[in-house]
This record gives sequence, structure tokens and C-alpha cells, in this order.
Amino acid sequence: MDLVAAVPGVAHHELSEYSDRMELIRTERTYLANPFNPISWTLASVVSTVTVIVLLGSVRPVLALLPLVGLPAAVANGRADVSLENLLDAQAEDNRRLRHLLELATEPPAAKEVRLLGLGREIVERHGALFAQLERARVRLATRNTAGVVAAWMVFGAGYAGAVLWSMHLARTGAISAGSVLLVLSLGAQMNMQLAELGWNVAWLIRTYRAVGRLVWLSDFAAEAKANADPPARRPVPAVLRQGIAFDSVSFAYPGTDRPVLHRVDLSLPQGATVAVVGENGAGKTTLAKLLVRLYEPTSGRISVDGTDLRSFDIEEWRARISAGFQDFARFELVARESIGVGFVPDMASSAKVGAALARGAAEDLVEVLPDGLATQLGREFDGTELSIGQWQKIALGRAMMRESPLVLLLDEPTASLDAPTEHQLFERFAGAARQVADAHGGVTILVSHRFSTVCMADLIVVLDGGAIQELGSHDQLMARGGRYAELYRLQASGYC
Amino acid sequence: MKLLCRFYDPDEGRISVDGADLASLRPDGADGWHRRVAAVFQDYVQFELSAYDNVAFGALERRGDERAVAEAVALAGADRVVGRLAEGWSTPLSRQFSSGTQLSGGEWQRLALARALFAVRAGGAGVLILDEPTAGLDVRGEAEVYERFLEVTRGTTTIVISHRFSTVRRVVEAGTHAELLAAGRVYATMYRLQAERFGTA
Ligand SMILES: Nc1ncnc2c1ncn2[C@@H]1O[C@H](COP(=O)(O)OP(=O)(O)OP(=O)(O)O)[C@@H](O)[C@H]1O
Ligand SMILES: [Mg+2]
Repeated sequence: MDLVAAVPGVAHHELSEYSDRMELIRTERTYLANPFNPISWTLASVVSTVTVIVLLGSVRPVLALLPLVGLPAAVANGRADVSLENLLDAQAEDNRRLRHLLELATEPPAAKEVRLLGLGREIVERHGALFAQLERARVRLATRNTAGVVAAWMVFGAGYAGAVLWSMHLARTGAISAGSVLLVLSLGAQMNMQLAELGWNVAWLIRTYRAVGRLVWLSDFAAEAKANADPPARRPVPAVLRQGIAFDSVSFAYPGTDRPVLHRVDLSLPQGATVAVVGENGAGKTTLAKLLVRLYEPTSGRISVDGTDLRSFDIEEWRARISAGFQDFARFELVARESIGVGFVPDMASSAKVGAALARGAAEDLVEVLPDGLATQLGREFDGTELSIGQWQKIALGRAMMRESPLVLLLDEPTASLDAPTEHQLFERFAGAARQVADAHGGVTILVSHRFSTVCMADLIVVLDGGAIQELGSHDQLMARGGRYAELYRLQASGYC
Repeated sequence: MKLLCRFYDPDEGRISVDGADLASLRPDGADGWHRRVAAVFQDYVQFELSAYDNVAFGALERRGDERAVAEAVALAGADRVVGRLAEGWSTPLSRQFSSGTQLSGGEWQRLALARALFAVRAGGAGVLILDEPTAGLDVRGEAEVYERFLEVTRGTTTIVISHRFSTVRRVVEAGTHAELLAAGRVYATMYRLQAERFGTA
């Protein structure tokens, strides 16, 4: 599974074709254990079949044709195997659906809503219906295959009986010896086995060939993704930002879709600046952030850092210089210190550094709430302390603040679940952290937020609308302009009487 | 809140509904308490099913009523989200499925709101619990929820749990905004903290 981790970005996890194939690679790994086995076994059964044919031919040349009547059986056996595999292939997506339904019915996060809505039975029924539908298709296929195989064996049986009767007739007329009749009798029976084996071995060969094909596809996919991700002219990530980060006419559509989510975005983020990105739900704010972290590559246009194309950096090296807190933050059910520390693993063991990161994220009060401080096991899974969503968010903020001097500090709606005093504190410290980022390495701080009370503190505010930049400027400039930003700011401020 | 949904019963004291002890009402079933409560939890579920199911699940017994579903979606401001979907209503909301798509954080939240609205309007839930219902919404969405949403759920007991006092101002709970501000305790401090940054306190 190293190959999977070798594919940079997350784009591939979102392609259903990719999911299908991965699922099959996972379930059919056994075929890959030794791809030479089916080849040698197939050869062996070909050789023994040929031997039988030669022996039969030595009795009477026409008898060499006896295997022909056995051919349908071999084909039917092989076909049955292959068609079953095709069916499983086709069912991969529905199997993922089954898994999601099962999760809804059994996993704690969904449980309370599912219960309140009384969805339990509906979900179980859907699961049952889908399962039955898939099962029916499998049974139907198995029945059809069995019928085919039986018919084919009947053809062989008739041929075999005919050959035996004919050779007995020949023996009676003295044309061949009684021993030859026995030979036909036993060779025919043996052929029965051999043809079945030949069929299976060929099917096995086909399966292996396909599994290898998928693996080749995956490694091509990984190589291609890497080639796209790492063009030959590799450049080191600058230690200090001197100019800043620039988006040049960047457009983007999620892989496998044709709806552009960003249109020709031109944007320059000067070194040391604090930049806020605002805009309606679905405007493309998170997408912009994902491109900067290189979870995806722009469909066209380019992003450059001090004039160097982002793609010429080693992706790991670039990410090592980014601190990011995302909207859909992860809940790592580890010991608190680790759950925060994974933001920068080298400092994970140092309680002082982890504590400092929490402080930068205005989340140090969290430690007092935890029964064993930073050593508290989090999450119910391991009998630890379950946190509220706001508390999980604080953990995530601490994680984002683990690196002391990143080139980019990226916060995507970091305060959505926080209470008022925390929000206030966070923003004051956040401005401090931003200054630190700027002083140390000329780093850029990017904040995505719907809370204009924070946004107005930024040096530069970007208003995104439908994937394009609508307005750009400082709070004062944008207010003076009296455009969209000013309108939205007033709309929200009117909430504070 | 979990008590109110009757996932647990209180150790002491009691919650009464129109005078009847909540603990004596049946939680499940057609006339059960759960049918009378609708909620948008802070960690609402993202059903990787069709957009339609995501809303219609609010009131299963009325799920065939496409008009009511469309209404709830429009009221929650999610109509534009659905309008953008390649296959409209029936688009599966997960990239794991062919022709499926992924929504942004705020778009998911609007669907969750639509689901709760559908439960109130079509399913007849009389209590609506909103836990940080606008955390991921844009400015307009937030304003709309409190102007429009609370308007259409009039007659429903609505409980909003929010850290944002601009929100609470519009919702009258255990005391009015002015009363609490005058009392000058935690509430007032927290409120001023938020308002200060707008320079209006
Ligand atoms: N993985 C994905 N695949 C396909 N489309 C996506 C994916 N992620 C997001 N989208 C779509 O791209 C658009 C922009 O999404 P994005 O997450 O960038 O919005 P946003 O501005 O961050 O919104 P919000 O304020 O709700 O967080 C949305 O319409 C969304 O439905
Ligand atoms: Mg977002």
C-alpha cells in the first residue's frame, strides 16, 4: 500500500474509478502474491492434456478429437470464474454504499441524529434491500453459470460414453486390444479432471493478468501524479520570503468534474502580510487554501513563491513550511500532547513546545479542563475523555500552531465553534502569531472566516464570489468603496446593537 | 440538550412538557417524543446519499412530498446549492460514487438546516433545537437564518445554543437581551467582547 501513500494530494481519493480499483486491488491482493504460479499451473495442465491427446491418438487417430467435446466444459468453467469477477467489479460502488449505511446505523457520531429522526429502520431497510439486490445478482449469475457448466459436462459425458462404446465395439471386432479400451476409459476420466483444471487455471491466469494490470495502473497513476507534482526542475523552498506568494490566472475544477470552482484568480500576497479571505458559502475559499497546500494542482495558471513555480518544490518540503488548520479538522483520538503535537512531530515530545503552541492558539485553558493535562487520553474509542466540538477545535488550533515559524499560516474558519472570550483572545494572539510569522521568515498568514470582526484586522481582504475575486483591499479601503464587503460588514455588525 | 432529546433522563429534577413529565413520554414510535423534536446538532450528519434524502430524512413519513422538501430547502437558503448540482436532487453527496460531488462546509450546514425545517413544517415537530446552527454560514446565511427561519418556525419552541451574541439578541430565552445586559454578569461581558471589535458597544 506504499503506492497509495506515494500519490501526492488527495485528488485521487475523490475519483470513484480510483475507489473501485483500489477496492479490487485490496480484495484481490492474493492473486498478486506470486503471478508466476498461474502461469506454471496453466502450462502444467496444457502439457498433461497434450499427453492425454497423444495417448488417445495412438489408439485411434479420431480419438484424439475426444478432448474437443470436453472443450465446452473447460470454457464454461473459465467463463463462470471470469464473469463472477466482472460482477464483483461492477458491485464495488454499491459495496461502498452498503458500508456507509452500516456506518450510519452503527457509528456513534451519527447515532444521536439517526435516533432522533427515527431513521434506524429506514437505514436498515435500505441496507437490506441493496444487499439483497446485490446478492440476487450474484445468485442469478451463479445459477446461469452452473447451468452452462452442467450442459457443457453433458456434452462431454455424451462424447465420452460414445468413445467408450465405440472402442468396445472395435475391441469386439478385434480391431483393438481390450487394454486399449481400458486406456480410453481411464484417459477419458482423467481428461474430465484435466479440462476442469485447465479452465480454472486459465481463469486464474486472466484474473492475475487483470490484477497486475490494475497494479500497473496504480503505479502509473502514482508516477504520473508525481511527475505532475514534481517537474524536473526541482528548486529548494526559500528559507525566507522576500516578495510573497502570487496566483497568476489560476483556474480550477475538481478532478473528474467540469464545473470550474475558481476562475482566473490573480492575487498577490505580499511577504509578511495578514490576508483574510471572505465570501459566500461555496465561493471557493477552502479550495483556494487547498491549492496553496497543494492538495490539488491548478487546472490552469500557476502559483508562485518569490517567483518560483510552486510545482518545482518538493511537495513534502513545501508542506513542512506550512501550518494549517482546516474547517473539517481531524479528531485524533490520541493522548492530548500527541494529538496537538502531530502538527510538528519533532517537537511532539516536548510538553513546553506543545504548551506554547496551545498558548499561540489561545487554547491553554484546555489543559486545566483535561483530567490528566496533556497526558489525557482523548476520545471515547480508547476510554478517554470525550471533548466538546469547541474543545476539539482548540486541539486543532494548537496543532496548527505547532510550527514556530512557517512560511504560510493558514486558518480556515478556526473559530466557528469557539465561545466569545476565546474568540477574542485568539484574535489578539493570532495577530501576534502573524507578526511573528512575518518577522521570522516574511511568512504570510491567511485567514478564511465569516466573522467580519476578525477579518477587519487583516492587511489585505480578498472577497471571493463564485470563484472569482470581486474586491480586494484593506478594511478601510473596502469600506470607503461601499461595495460588497461594506454591505456584508454592516449586515453583520448590525447584529451588535 | 441531550436530556431534552431524551437520550438520557435527568438524575434529579424533571422536564415537563405541557405539564406532563418528559420521562413518562415514549421516546420512539409514531407518537413518540422524538417526532416532536427537530434538531440541528453541532456535528450534524452528512448523509452520503442523495441531496433529496438529506432533507427528506427530516420527516420520513412525508418524504414523498417533493414540494414541501423544496420549500424547506428554499427557506434554508440551500436552493442555490441544489441548483448547482449536476444531477439536481438525486446527486449523491460523496465523491466516492459516480456522478457524486462534495459540498463545502457551509453548504452542508444549509442542508442540515433544511432537514430540520422539513421536520418542523412537514413532520410537525413542535420543538426545534439549533446548536451553533450558523457556525459555518456566510454573513447573509446567518442573517437569513435568524430573520426568516425563526419567522417560519413561529409557534415552535425554538432553542438556539450559540456563542454568537448577535444571534441571541434575536432570540428570547430565559431573559431578554436588555435584562441580561443590565444584570451585567457573564452574558454582558461576553457580549461586549464581541461587540467591541465592531466599535459599537
Ligand atoms: N471535493 C470536491 N469535489 C467537487 N466539488 C467540490 C469539492 N469540494 C468542494 N466542491 C465544490 O466547490 C465549491 C467551492 O467549495 P469550497 O469548499 O471552496 O467553498 P467555501 O468558499 O470554502 O465555502 P464555505 O464557506 O461553505 O466553507 C462548492 O460549490 C463545492 O460544492
Ligand atoms: Mg470553506
